[in-house]
Amino acid sequence: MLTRKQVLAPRSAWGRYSVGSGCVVLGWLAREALTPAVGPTALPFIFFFPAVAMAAWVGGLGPGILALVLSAVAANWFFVAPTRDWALHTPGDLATMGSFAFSCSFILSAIDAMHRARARILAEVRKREAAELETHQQKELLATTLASIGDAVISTDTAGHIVFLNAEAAALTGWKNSEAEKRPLSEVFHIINEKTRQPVESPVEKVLQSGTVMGLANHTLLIAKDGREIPIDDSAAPIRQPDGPLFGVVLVFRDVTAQRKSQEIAARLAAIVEHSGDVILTKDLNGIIRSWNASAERLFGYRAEEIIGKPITVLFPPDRLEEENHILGSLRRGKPVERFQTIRVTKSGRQVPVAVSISPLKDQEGELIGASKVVHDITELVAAREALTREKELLATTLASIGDAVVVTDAEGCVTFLNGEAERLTKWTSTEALGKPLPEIFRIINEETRRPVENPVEKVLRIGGVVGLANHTILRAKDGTQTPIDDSAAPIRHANGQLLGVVLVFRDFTERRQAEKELREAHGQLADRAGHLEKLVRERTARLQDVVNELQHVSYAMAHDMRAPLRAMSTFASLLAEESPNGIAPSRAQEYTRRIIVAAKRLDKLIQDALNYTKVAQQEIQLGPVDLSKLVRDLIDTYPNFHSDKADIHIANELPVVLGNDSLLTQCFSNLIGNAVKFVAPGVKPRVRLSAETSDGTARISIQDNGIGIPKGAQARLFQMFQKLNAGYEGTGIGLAIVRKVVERMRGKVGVESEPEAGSTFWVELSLADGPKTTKWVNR
Amino acid sequence: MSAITGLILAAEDEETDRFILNLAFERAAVPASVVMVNDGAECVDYLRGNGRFADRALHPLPTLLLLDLKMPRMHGFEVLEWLGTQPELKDLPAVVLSSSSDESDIQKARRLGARDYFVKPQSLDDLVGILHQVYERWMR
Repeated sequence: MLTRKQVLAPRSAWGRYSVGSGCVVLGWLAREALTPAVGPTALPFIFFFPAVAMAAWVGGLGPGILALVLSAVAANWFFVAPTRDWALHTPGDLATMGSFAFSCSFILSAIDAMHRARARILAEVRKREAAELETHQQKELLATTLASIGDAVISTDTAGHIVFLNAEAAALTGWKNSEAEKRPLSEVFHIINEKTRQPVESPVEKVLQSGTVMGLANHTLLIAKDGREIPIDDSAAPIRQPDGPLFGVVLVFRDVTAQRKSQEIAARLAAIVEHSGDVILTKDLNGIIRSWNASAERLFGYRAEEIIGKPITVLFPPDRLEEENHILGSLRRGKPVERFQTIRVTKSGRQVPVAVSISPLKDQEGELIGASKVVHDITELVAAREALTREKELLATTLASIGDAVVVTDAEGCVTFLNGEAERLTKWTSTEALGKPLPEIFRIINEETRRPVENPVEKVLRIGGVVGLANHTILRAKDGTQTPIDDSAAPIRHANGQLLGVVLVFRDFTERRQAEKELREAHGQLADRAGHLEKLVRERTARLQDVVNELQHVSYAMAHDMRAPLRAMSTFASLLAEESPNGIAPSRAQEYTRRIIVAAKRLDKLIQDALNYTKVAQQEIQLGPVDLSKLVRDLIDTYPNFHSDKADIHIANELPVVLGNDSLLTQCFSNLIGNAVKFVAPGVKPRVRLSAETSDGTARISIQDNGIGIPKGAQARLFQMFQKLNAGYEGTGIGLAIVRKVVERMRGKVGVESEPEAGSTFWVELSLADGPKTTKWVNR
Repeated sequence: MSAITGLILAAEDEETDRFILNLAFERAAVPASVVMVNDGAECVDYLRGNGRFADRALHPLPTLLLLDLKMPRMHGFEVLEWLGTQPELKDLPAVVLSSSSDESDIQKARRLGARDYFVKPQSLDDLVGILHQVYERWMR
């Protein structure tokens, strides 16, 4: 409640009472001023009335009463007769004083009432001002709230005309508040069904009809002023005084694009989980299964409704039950379990190798509430891994036991593998070599230049292709041992072509080189042998050819030469037979008979010579030293034709001891000397000169005659069989053929130098026997 | 016996064969003269008119040459070869009469220009028949 002090001017009590006293002083002074005009005692109270009123008006009731008392005292002392005297002498004075007090009291109470009314009005005004302020502030707050609220808000009056549209509503509808105000709601808030695209009844209408709150309509699209379509959900509520009449509707709606999207995402995630090829399930912290997707059903055979609520351990083989404790322990520490490989059991009891990834599930507050498990059936993976392991082992075993040295490097050329043979050749162990750059392990130099050779691996890394053999490469082992090797290196590539490393294969070339050398030698020997064999074959073929030729000669001779005497015998015998009946002349018959006999003898001689030739050509002979001087002297002694009365045969120098066959050489020289003696012009005494020259282990014996000579053209066929050069001399034409055959069989040569009419010189070349002493010793 | 119409030069080294050939010519009675030489070399001398054959009045050129093959000094083949080099003798027919029935000899003789080749027969009558044939073919 307002006090008087508050209603009055805010003066202190001292001030107000001073003002009251001052008003009395002013009233006293004003009466004093009137004294000259009216005398000292007339109208004693005249100016004390306004002083009291003024004091009460300005200072309030207290100062007013003070002013009344002071005015009464002052008026009595100064202006009531007798002046300067307190006593009221007359009743008139007393009445005057009483009237004054009474009037002043009345004035005082009037002014006090006035003061009180004013104070009341003032308080009322203040109160109203405060209430107005409060209302205004609340309105501002509401407006601001509405304006800045995340939801769109539109309020209408009962006719459905828009009263207010907040910022979000403006943003969504595209209408500004100022534009929308007073327009019918349907004009601004245009909604259709998302699926049917038919206009939807405004919820405001429904509220206006029903007077109750209308809930959300689903799948509603708001068509904005600019044509945008925005999915919204909305609600509308009546605005009414408590228990009062409806005076409007408030429509609240919001853009649910994001919400819809998150719902879609959630739905999609749920679908993904449900239809994932992976087994996905969740469990709570007690190990109770809480969700179960289709793949889980496929793998384990349990349907969702039969497994959810059961402990996860139904999937565990009995010997692995304690795994769950580890898993739960790990989860409680907030740690996920990554691809934990284990065995799980299906409904049918089959054990399946699986990889399990387990992540903690947390609620929105981050509190651990369970775990999600992703389970992979790794049956095939396990099988493949086992196969891979086997293959890897096989490869490793192969590489380790392969005869060639194998070194594998990574793409930087650092050693990652070294097999046993490589260890042996480089003298580095795997453990020492691993990670070292290859050139440190595989030091190679050129065999001839002794200079380092470019490492094949570096070359492979440089050119990216296979590097072939480098010839004449020497590997220097760790201990300095040098081994000739051949090597090759090839890149190891990933399927995508990326170079993963290089595989270097090399082998100890020592043995191979040795083998190659031996092979070369063997080849050489073989070639020699082959050459020898070829020569042998050539020789034998030539000899065979000679035999064939000789046989041809013999058969030719049979056909030709031997037929001639037969023909003669037949002809003359026919003539004898033909002519005898008519009486043949005895001389004629004799002639025919003689010719038959000659022919028969000739045939016999031909046959003998042919046989002799064949014998010379074919018989086994043994070679030994033959003293030609002795042989020739024996011949001269034996043949009468060679005696000095028939022929002059002169041995010019001592003939040598040659390597030959005694009986064949006898035939040879008897034929040659016989020819020399025979083929002389009629009446000429044969002169034959034998001489010998030796050189290089060969003796050349010449038999020079003074005979008829041989035409140049005939010399070539002189030594062939059955060649007779002169019709006038006896002979079958086989002697020189025998000479040639004999000499050839002793690996000698025979020839002739001759001029017709100037004699001939036949010569024979034969090997000398080792020496006279040996010869004589062997001879004996 | 009809008039002499030609001259046959026969080269034969074997005395016996010459004797038989003469007998055969007598029997065959071909109207031609026959001159015998002892070998190939003598045959060529005759044809060239060398030495004792220089007088063509005594030793006129023959109209037929009858050649043995296997002869001393100069073989029948050599004679044929030489004959091929003599243009003025290109019309002189050469016929071989040899003991050899060897096919290679026959071929070689033909190649070297022999017009005919006969193998010496075993009987005189056959030889007479051959001489008749030779005359009929080459001298008429």
